[in-house]
Amino acid sequence: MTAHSEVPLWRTVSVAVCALCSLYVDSVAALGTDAGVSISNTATVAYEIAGAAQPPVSSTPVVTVVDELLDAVAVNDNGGNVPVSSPATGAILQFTVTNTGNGPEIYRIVAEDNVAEGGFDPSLTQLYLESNAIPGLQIGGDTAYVPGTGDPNLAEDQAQVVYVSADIGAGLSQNDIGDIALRAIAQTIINQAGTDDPDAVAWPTPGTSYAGQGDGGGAAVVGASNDTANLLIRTTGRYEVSNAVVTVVKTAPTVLDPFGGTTVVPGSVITYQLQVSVAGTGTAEALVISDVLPAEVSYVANSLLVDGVAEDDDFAPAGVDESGFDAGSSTVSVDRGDVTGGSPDVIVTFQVTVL
Amino acid sequence: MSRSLRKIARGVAFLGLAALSAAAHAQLDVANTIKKVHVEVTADGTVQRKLVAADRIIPGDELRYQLTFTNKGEAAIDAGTIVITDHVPEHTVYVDGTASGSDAQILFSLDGERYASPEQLLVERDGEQMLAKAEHYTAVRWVYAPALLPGESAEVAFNVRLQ
Repeated sequence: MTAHSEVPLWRTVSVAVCALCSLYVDSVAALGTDAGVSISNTATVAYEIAGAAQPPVSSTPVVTVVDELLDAVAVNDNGGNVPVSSPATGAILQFTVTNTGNGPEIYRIVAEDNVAEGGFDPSLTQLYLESNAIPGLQIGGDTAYVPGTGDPNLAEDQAQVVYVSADIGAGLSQNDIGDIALRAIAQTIINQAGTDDPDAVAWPTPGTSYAGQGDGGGAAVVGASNDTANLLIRTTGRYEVSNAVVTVVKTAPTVLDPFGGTTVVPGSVITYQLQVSVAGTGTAEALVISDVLPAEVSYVANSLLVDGVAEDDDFAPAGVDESGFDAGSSTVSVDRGDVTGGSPDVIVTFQVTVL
Repeated sequence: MSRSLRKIARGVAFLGLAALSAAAHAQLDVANTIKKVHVEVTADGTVQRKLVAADRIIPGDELRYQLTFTNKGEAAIDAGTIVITDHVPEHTVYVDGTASGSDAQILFSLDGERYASPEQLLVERDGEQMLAKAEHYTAVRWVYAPALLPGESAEVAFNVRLQ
């Protein structure tokens, strides 16, 4: 049996090797006026009586304090179904929770593995919060998270990447799916409504307000993202059983700086290694390993090795040589064609110079 | 002191008191109230807008400031001389088309100094002049046309949206 279209393979590879993506997190401008800010308004009036200008009069100032909007959005970052083998342990889904309210708020992030419409039930084993600024889950590096303990305090507009690790049972068939549902609930709602479950009777409708509970002393107002009809605070990630599962591990085994040391400074040469493995009993068709280099580095010409064998940079003759370095898109590509599960890992190495 | 001089002195003292009391009690009183525009879409799709108390405000809310001015004195205020000025508060933007006031000419300002009608407010962008947008207005001014007789009052209003 063959497995897998090219699209998810490409996506898996690209996501896994995006080395410098974390540099661009959290640069979004503030969405709304901060909770606790005073909005003040005073009108002045000038007038004349019998041709004589009178001293202008002012209204008393009208001062209104901005209340705290409790809003968050959870997004499935996986870009599609995540291929898993059956059985599998430690299959990872990635989500991002963003505080779209206007004040800092603690969010409890809850994942469920028994989603009714989601096919098989994955077995949730552990949640992790991205904490070491290295994209992707590093067990031991990122923070293991238990909802209700160490819930993240998110500033307005701040995003938190969350990883869900689950085990996949044995005996599942090709293309079986299993869902994980994830939601982020404001601590203020949990405290006031006494539940973190949108299906509970006590769950508040949007517009519900809690006097004095807002950041800055105003009220806290339940935002539209908490509307159970819209489910913006909930999202679902999906595993899909595949008989050929491609995984990529990117490492930088050697760094050589201009002084013979190992610091990353302009002029340092970094050797990157992509270890690509295909697991399972099927075949990964038209496997293309690609890595888009960030603008901060420049590819070292003719440094591409595939399984230790030099691969030239060009793509000639066209249609035959599909591997090389495309300067236009700053992308290293290695075409492996169809790869059967259990084949030896493909090792791709290349070098870049830090600009 | 002659009787006539004493009379004059008393008169001066009286005038002085009158001037003081005029400064302490202005003829015109201006009251400012805030409401929130509550928008509700009914089941049949009709959009209903109504004013409610502004006791909960969050980003995106539309607020209405209502300015009521009343002649509390005993003399008429001259026609065309009542000029009400209000600034668009920080963290808010003016909502286009919401300034109202019967018998009043409504002007806007981009800088709080020069006031003009919307078609005369231009901004320059990439070397080209174009009409300023409502969200660029920083102040609203009403020039009330009629005279305001003792005891009379009138009202003007405008809406802003909290960013």
